[in-house]
Amino acid sequence: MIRAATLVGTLLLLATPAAAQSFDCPTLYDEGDYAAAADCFEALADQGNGNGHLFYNLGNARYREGSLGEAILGWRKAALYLPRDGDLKANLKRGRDLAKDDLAPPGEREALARTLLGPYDALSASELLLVGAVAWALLLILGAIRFTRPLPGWGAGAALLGFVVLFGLGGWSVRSYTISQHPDAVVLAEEVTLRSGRDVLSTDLARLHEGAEVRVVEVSDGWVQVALSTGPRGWLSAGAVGLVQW
Amino acid sequence: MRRVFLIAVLAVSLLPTATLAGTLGMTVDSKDLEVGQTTQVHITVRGGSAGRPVISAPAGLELVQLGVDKDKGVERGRLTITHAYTYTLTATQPGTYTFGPARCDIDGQNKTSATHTITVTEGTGRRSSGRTRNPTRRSSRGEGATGAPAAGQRGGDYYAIATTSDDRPYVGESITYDVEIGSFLRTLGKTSWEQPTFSPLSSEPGVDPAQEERQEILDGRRYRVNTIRLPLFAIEDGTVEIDPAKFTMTVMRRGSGAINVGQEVSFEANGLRVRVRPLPREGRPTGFGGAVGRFGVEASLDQSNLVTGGTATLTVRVVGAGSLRGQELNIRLPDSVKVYDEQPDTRGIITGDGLKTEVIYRKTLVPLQPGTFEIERIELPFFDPDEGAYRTARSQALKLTVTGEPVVDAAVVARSAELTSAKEAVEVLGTDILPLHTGGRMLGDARLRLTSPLVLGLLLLPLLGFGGIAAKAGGQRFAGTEGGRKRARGKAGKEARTAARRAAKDDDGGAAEEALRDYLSARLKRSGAALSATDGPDVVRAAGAPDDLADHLGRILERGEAIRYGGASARGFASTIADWIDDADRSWK
Repeated sequence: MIRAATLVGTLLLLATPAAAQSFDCPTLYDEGDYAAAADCFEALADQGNGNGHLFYNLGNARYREGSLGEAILGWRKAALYLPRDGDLKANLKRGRDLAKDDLAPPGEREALARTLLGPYDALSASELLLVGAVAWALLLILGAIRFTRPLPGWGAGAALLGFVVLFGLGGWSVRSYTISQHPDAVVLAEEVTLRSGRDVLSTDLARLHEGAEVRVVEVSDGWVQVALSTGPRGWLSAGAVGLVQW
Repeated sequence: MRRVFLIAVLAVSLLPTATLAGTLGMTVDSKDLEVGQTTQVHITVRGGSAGRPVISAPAGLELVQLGVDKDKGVERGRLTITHAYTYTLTATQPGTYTFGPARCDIDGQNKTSATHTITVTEGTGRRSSGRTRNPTRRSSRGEGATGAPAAGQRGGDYYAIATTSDDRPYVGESITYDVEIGSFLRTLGKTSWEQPTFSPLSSEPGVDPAQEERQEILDGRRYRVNTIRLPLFAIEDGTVEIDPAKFTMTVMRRGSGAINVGQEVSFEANGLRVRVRPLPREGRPTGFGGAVGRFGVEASLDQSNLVTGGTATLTVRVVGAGSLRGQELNIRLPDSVKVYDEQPDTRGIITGDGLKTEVIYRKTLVPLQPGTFEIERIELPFFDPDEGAYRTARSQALKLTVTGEPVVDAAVVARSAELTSAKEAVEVLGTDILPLHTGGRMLGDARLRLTSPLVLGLLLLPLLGFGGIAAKAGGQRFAGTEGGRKRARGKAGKEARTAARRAAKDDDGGAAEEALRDYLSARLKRSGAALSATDGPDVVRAAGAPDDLADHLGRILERGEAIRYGGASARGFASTIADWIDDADRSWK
C-alpha cells in the first residue's frame, strides 16, 4: 500500500510543470544559456517554490548572465531561507565585491551585537517559528505532566523553554515584520539617482549603482524611500530596485 | 460742483493704481569683463501679480540663474510683492554685446527693462604654480565645447591645470604631478583622462595616486574641483617635457526648452617642463645608496635576552619624505649569530607634502654562542634636496645577551627559523562563484507559516491537551474544598429531587424513599440511609430544618417502615415524599 502510494506520488510530482522545469533549468545553465536558465528558475519561483536553493541558483544564473544586481537580489532572497549556507555566503561576497558602491549591506552589526544576536541571525524565519513552536509544545506537555506527577527541575526547565518560546516566536514576528514592512532592496539599474523627493525635479542626493544594497523605509506611488548604511535617506524609482522579500 | 466732486473721487481712487504700477528693473554688477570672468545680474520685479522674467544672453555670454528672493509688503493699502532674481553672467568670447532687455508680465501688463552693453576682452587668465613652467599650449576644445578656457587657466565651464611639486628636482627625488580639474557645470559619471608620458620620470611603484574633491568659488561661480596627485621619481638628470594630459567628461547643458542634456567634452591641461638636476659628487658619503629626501632610522629587538638557539627579531624602521625604493641597509652583526632576512615591508602614501615612505626591515637572529653582543648603529646616508647636502640618519645601538651552551647543530636551528619565515602568501589565480545546488532540493515551498499544519499542530494540540488536563486537575482540587463539597451536595440534592418526582409519577414508594434518603445525605453532610423515624426528625432539626418539616419527615419515615415491614399500602407515598422535598427546598435553608 505504502509503496503504491509512493509511486503515485512520484508520478504526480514528475507530471507537474514545476518538476519538469526544475530538471531543465540546471541543464540550460550547464549549456551556457544563462538567461534562459534564469528565466526558468524564476518561473519555478513564480509557481510557489519558495526555496533557498532555487533563489541561490537564480542568483548564479543572473550572475553568469551579467546582471549583478539581479544576482545579488537572488542570493539575498536565498539567504532568507538559507542563512548558514556556505556556498551562498561565498557567492554573495563575490557579488558584493563586484558592486561599484562602497556601501556596507544594511543591517550589518557591530562585533558585540553580532555575537549576542548570532543565534537569531543564524536562523531563518521558518526555523525561528519552528523552534518557538517546538519549545511551546514541550513547555505545555511538561506542564501537563506536572499536573499528574512532580517533575524535578521543573522551574528552571520551564524558564528555559519559556525563553526559547519568546526567542523563537518573538524572533519570527520581528523577522516577518521586517521583511514585509522594511525589507532590504538591491539596486538593479546600472545607475540610479537618490533624490530628496518623489519626483525627478527634486535634489539629487547621491548616485547609486547596480548591486548597491539599501534598507527600505517606505514604498509610495512608484517610489521607494531608502536609507543607506552610511546614513542618508532619499527616494529611488521603484523600478530601479528589487525588494528582498519572500 | 457735483461733477467736480465725482472727478476728484475718481482721481483719488485711481491714484494708488497709477503710483503702484508694477516695475521691472535690471542691473549688472560689471559691464567690462575678460573672457572667463563672471559678474552678477540682478532683476527686480515689483507688483501685485507677476510672472517670471524672461531674459536671454547673446552668444559670447552665458547666463545662469542663481536664486530668487521674495519680499511682501503693503503699500497704500495694496499688497506689493518684490521678487529679486540673481543670475551669473559669464563671458565666453571677446566682443561687445547688448544684454537685455528683460521682459515680464506684471499685473497683466508687459514690462520691459533697460538694456546694458557688456564689453568682453581677451583675459590674461591665472597662472599655475610658480614651481612649474607656464602652460605652453592652448586647449583643443572638444566638439561643441564652448566653456573651456585656455589650457592651464582656471575659469570657463571647465578647466584643467597641471603642476609639479618641484620643477627642478634632483635625480632620485620624489615629486608629484598634480592635476586640478574644475567644472562649473554639473557632470555625469566619471571624468576619464589620458595620462601624459613622463619618461624619463618614473611612477613610484606600489603607491596609489591621491585624489580629492572639493568645491571652490572662482569669480563668483561655484566649481567642483578634483585634484589628482601622481607620485613620480626622477631616474636621470636632464630636461623632461611632460605633454598635456587629456580629459573627457560629460557635462549637463541646458538644451532646447528647460531640459538639461548631457554633452561629452574633451579638453587638455597644460604641458610642463621639468629639469632634473644630478646629485652633487662633493660630500657623497660611503655607502650612499641613492636615497633622496629626509629620513630617520629606528632599530629594535623584540627580546634582548635569550638562550643559544632561540630567535630574536631585529626590526629596522626607516621613515621619511622621499623615495627609498631598492634601498639596502648595511647591518653588521656578529659572526656567531645566524641571520635570516625577510622581505622588507614598504609602504608609501601621497600627502599634501609629497611622498611619505616607510620601510620596515626584519631579520631573524639565531645566536649560536653565549655572550653579550652589540648591534652597531644602523646608518642610512641620504641626500637632502632642501639643504642640497648629504646627511646620514642613524639608529641607536642595541645589545643582545645570550646564555646557554653553544649550539653545535646549526642546521637544526636554521631549519626551525626557516619554518617561521619561509611561508608565502597564497597566490590568488582567479575568482568565481560556486556551482548550482542541484537535485530536488530546489522544489517545494520551504517557508513555514503560522497556518502551516505542522506549526498549527505544535501550537494548538499541546494547548488543547494541557487545557483538558489542567481543567480536570483543577476540578479535582476544587472538589476537596468546602465549595466543591457544597456544589456536590447541591448536585446530589437536585438529582434526588428529580428521582423523587419520577417515583411519584410512577407511584413507586420504594424509589421515592431511596431518593429521600439521597436528598437527606446531600443536605446533612452524612449518610441518610440509616435515618429512622426515631432519630431522623432530630437530625434534620439540628441541621436547621423547621419543626413541622422535621415532624413531617418523622411521619414519612414511620410510614416507610410500616410499608416495608407491616404491609401498609404504599399508594400516594411517593407523592408525599416528593411534596416533602419541595417543602424542604423552600423552607429548609
